[in-house]
Amino acid sequence: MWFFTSPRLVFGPGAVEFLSSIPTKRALIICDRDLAKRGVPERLVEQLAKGGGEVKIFADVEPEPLVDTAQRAAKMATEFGPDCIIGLGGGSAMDVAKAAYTLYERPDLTVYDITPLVDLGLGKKAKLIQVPTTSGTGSETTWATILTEGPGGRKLELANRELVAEWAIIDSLLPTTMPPRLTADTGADALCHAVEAISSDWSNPFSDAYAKEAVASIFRSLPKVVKDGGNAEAREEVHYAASMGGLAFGNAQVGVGHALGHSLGSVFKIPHGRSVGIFLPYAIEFNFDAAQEKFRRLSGVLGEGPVRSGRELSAHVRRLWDAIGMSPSISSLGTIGQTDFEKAMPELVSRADQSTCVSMNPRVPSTAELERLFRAAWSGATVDF
Amino acid sequence: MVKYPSEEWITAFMTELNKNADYEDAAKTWEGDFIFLIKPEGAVTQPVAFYLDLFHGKCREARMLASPTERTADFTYEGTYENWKKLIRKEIDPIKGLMSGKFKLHGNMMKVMRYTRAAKELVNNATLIPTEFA
Repeated sequence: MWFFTSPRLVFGPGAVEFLSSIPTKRALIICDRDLAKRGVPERLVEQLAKGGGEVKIFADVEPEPLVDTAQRAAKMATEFGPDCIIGLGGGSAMDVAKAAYTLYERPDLTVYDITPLVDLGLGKKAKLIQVPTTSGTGSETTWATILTEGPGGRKLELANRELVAEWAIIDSLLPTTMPPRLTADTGADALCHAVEAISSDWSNPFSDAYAKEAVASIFRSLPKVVKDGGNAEAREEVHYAASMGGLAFGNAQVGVGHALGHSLGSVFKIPHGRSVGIFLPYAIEFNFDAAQEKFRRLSGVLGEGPVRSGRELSAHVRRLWDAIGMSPSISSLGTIGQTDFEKAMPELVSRADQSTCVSMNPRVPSTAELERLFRAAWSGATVDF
Repeated sequence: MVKYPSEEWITAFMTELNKNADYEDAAKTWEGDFIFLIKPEGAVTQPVAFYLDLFHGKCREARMLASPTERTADFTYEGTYENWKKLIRKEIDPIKGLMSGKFKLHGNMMKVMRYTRAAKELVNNATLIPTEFA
């Protein structure tokens, strides 16, 4: 017995119009500073106003947000008393929205109480709506929220089914202004979600269906939209694929690729998609033998015959990464010196080891194997252990 | 074959655990004791509790308690006998078991979520004991 959890989805170009039809007295929009500067929240405000809602905006979310940011957003919510909280933006804003929603609904809790093992009793004061503007973390569909404990601190992988939004509004016009680098990074994250969900110990027929479709869409359209951000058809396909990737991993979990990526990203401040993207080929090579039958479900999805080995599958990913300008190794990022990398190794391994992601990996890595994976990803070596 | 649940079984569990390199690696920083509570169902008509003192990858003490209230522990993992059987047979994942309500965990949830690999190895250890169920 298992579950499949999803928000209600409304999608399409201009889908934010839907907000005008949701009965809302007071809405708190949570977004990042860049979106606020570009006037994106105003598109939502306009729709909410049609429905008669009063709106306040918390526009202070930073990339890889801190626990403190969620606490401040919750404070604004407590003072304003919204009946609707809207996460607008990339994963950072949506994750802050989930945590702030929890703390607003349950001021007796801290973020450390957000685990999948308890009933939180949310939904008594407000509904949660998510509106992604990147393609993407899939956070609009998941029950996970990732916050960092403090500057340079560990990433907290918080999760509870009650954090799934009531509505996810997947408006393909919203990501159109993403520059190529961000399009590539967030698209890489979406692919990681889909592939890791397929090989996860918790994969199931429903998560597989979304994962396979997400993989096919991303391989088909991500290079096109990285090259030409104005390609509306490709942009729309990747935007939906990111939500499908979210539905896949939200219901099957991710694995060692994300454990390694969270660790590297938190220690060296690498954007999430870029960080997890580096590790995907290595994770595939590490996992392939343990999850062969699962990976073979991608046969035909990539359009090039059966998947026969981890190296073959990882080569597909490496070619895609090359096409979209993703770094194939940690050293090729050019921002981390080898001395710093070596010095950080014990902390890198410790953080990866304590990630819940390793537990659902088809092959649970030892700490020695985690270190070998980091080293392989540093140099670009094939994983053959 | 070792009968489950019994004092012999938990003694065998401790012996195996202290030889288990995978568990030792996963739990090398773990500190905290556990009660495994088996609620009556089927062939088991009274609650049974096992106590384990787990510290830095080793089990310092493991025994069957005279009663579930004999002592407290940092964590209690409880489920019915039939679900414990499924867990030991690897028919249920320990974390999924919690999330689907087949097991309950009492204690610091956030701490446990940082040691899910150790939790998996702890349960895997149980499958190494040739077990005869009641």
